[in-house]
Amino acid sequence: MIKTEGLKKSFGKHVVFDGADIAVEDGSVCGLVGINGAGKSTLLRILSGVIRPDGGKASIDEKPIYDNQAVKKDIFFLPDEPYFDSNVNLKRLRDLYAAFYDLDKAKYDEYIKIFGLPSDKPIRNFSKGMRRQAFIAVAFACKIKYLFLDEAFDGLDPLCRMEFKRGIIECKERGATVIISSHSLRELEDICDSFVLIDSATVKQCGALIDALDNIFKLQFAFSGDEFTRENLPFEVLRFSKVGRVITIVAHGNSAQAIEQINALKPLFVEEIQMDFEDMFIEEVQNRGYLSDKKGD
Amino acid sequence: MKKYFVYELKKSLFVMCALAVIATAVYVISVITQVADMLDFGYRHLNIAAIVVMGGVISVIVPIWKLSYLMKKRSVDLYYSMPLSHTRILAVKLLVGLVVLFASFTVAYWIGCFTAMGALSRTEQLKNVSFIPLYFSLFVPMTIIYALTAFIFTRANRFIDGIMFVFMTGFSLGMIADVVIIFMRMAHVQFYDSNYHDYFYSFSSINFTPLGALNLISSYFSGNMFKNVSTTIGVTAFDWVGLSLVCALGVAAGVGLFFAQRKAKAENCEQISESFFGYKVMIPLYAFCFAITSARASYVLVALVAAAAYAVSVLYKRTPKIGWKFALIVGVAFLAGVGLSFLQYA
Repeated sequence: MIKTEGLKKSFGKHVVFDGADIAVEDGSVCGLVGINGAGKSTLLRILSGVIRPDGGKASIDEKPIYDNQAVKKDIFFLPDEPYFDSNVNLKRLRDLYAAFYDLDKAKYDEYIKIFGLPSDKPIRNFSKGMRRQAFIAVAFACKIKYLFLDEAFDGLDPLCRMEFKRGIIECKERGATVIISSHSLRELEDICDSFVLIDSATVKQCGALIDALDNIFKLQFAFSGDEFTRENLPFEVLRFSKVGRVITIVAHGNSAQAIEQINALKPLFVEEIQMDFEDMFIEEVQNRGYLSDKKGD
Repeated sequence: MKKYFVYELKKSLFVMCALAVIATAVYVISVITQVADMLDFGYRHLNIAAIVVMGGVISVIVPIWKLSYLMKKRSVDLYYSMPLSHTRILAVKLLVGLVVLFASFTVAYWIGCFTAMGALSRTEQLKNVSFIPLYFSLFVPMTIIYALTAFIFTRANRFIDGIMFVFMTGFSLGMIADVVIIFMRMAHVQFYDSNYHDYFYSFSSINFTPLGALNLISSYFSGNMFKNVSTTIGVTAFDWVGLSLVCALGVAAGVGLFFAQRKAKAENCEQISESFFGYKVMIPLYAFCFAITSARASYVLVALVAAAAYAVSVLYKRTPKIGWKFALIVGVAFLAGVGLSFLQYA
C-alpha cells in the first residue's frame, strides 16, 4: 500500500502540503487531480523518491521511499516532461532504462510497433505526442509494481489514449498499482478505481471514485412562482443557480432522498442530471472559490 | 550498479575518443614544431606544456560534463527517480569520468611521446625513459583538479553558475596569496632563504591554484628531458604550502562531494546558487583583491573592476536589482580594496 501520513512540503515560503494523508491500495488505479499548482507533480515526485518531504511520512508497505533503493526498484516515474539526451533514439532510450530496470524488450518493441514510432530517428525530432508514446512504451515494458504517471494523457491522440488505457488496465490485472495525474478527468473516470483531490495544501478527498460520485448529485426543478430561493431548500447545497423559474442545484448526499424532499414542496418537475468525474471536480473546486464569480447565485 | 556503469561507459565512448583525438592533435603538433627547431638549431629543451595543459583542461571538462545532470530539473527527475541511490549514481558518473579522463590522456600522451622519440631517435639525445615518471606524476594533480572541479561545480544550481564557480574558486587562493604578499610587503616583512634570496621575489601565486603542480611538473621535465642537460626548479617554502593546501583541498573535495550529495535537494535545481563556495563569497573577494591591485594603476581599471563586480552580481541574482544587502557587502569590499591600495604606497 502507498501511504502518506501528515505529509508536509514547502518550497521556500510556498506551502505545497501541510499535513496530507493518502492511502492507495495495491493493485488499483488511482487518479490524482487538482487545480493548476495544487501539488500533483510534487506529490508524485515525493512518492517516486525524487524529493524528500519536509515532514510526515511517505511510504510503500511501511518502508520509506526517499533514496531507498530496495523500494524504488519497484517504482517507475514518468514525469510530465521526461528527460532524454539530444542524440538519444528509441534503442538508446530502451538501453538507458534497461540499465536500471528489468525491461521486457519484446514488450517494448511491441508498443513501439503499435504506436508506429521510427526507431532510428532521434527523439528530439519527435512530436510531443510521439515522445509521450515512447516513454509510455518504456513504462509498460518495465513491468514494475508501482507506476506513477504525471499528465499521462497530455499530447496523445484519441486512439493512443485508448491504447494507453488498455495498457493501464493490463498493468492493474497483473497486480500493479498505478497513480495517474491528469486534467483529462473523463479519461481517468474510465480506468480509475479511486482518486485523490488535492487542494489548498492538503488532500480534500481521497477514496473510491464510485463512492464519491454516489455522494454528489445535480438536480433541476422548477416551481410555478418566482419566489423560490436557496433558503427554501431543506438541505445544504454546494451550488444553487436559477435561470427564470428553472433551478439547478448540486449537493452532497443521497439524490433519492433529496428528490423526495423537493417533491414535498410541489415543484412543476424535478429531474436528476447525471454527473461525471469532471462535473464533480468542477463543483468541488469552484465551491472553494477557485476561478469563481462571487456575484450571487 | 554494474549494468548502469557499463551503460555510462558505452555512452561516453564517443566523447572519450573525441577528447583523445583533440589532445593528441594538440600534443603531436606541439612536438613536431619543436622537433623541427631542435633538428635545425640544436635546441635541447622539449616543452611538454601542451600535454600537461591538455591534461588539466580535460580534468576540468570531464567532471563538468558528467555532473551536468544535476543542473537540469528534467535530468534530476530522471536520475533521482531511478532505483539506485543518489550517491551510487554520482559514484558511477565520477568513475566513468575518471576512465574517460585517463584513457583519453593516455592515448594522447603516448602517441605524442612516441612521436618525439621517433623524430629525435637519430640524435640519441632524448632521455626516453623520462616519459614514464612524467606520465605517472601527472596523475595526482589531474585527479586533484578533477575532484576540486567536481565539488565546486556541484555547489551551483545552474550550469553557467557551476562554470563560474569553478573558475572563480579555482583562482581565488592564488589571488588571496598575492594579496597576503602585498600586506606583508606593506608591513616590511621579509623572508630570506639560506642564499639570502628574498622569497617574495620568486613567489608564484600559481602554486596556490590547482594548476600549480602541473606548472611545476611541466617546468621540471621540460628542462630535464635531454641527456647532459639538467635544469633546477626553484621551489620555495611558500610554494610547498600552496601545493600542499591544494592537495589537501582536493582530497577534502573528493570526500566532501559524497557527503554533500546526501543532503542535496532536487528542488534546488535551477534555483539561485547561494552556496558559500560561489558568488556569495567570490564576488566580494574578487572585488576586494582586484581593487587592491588595480586602484593605484589606473582609474579606468578601477571602474572596470566595479562594472565587472556588478555584472557578475546580476548573473548571480538573475536581475539588475541585486538587493541592497549584497550591494553593500560588495561595495564595502571594493572600497576597502581601493583604500588599502592607496595605503600600500603611503
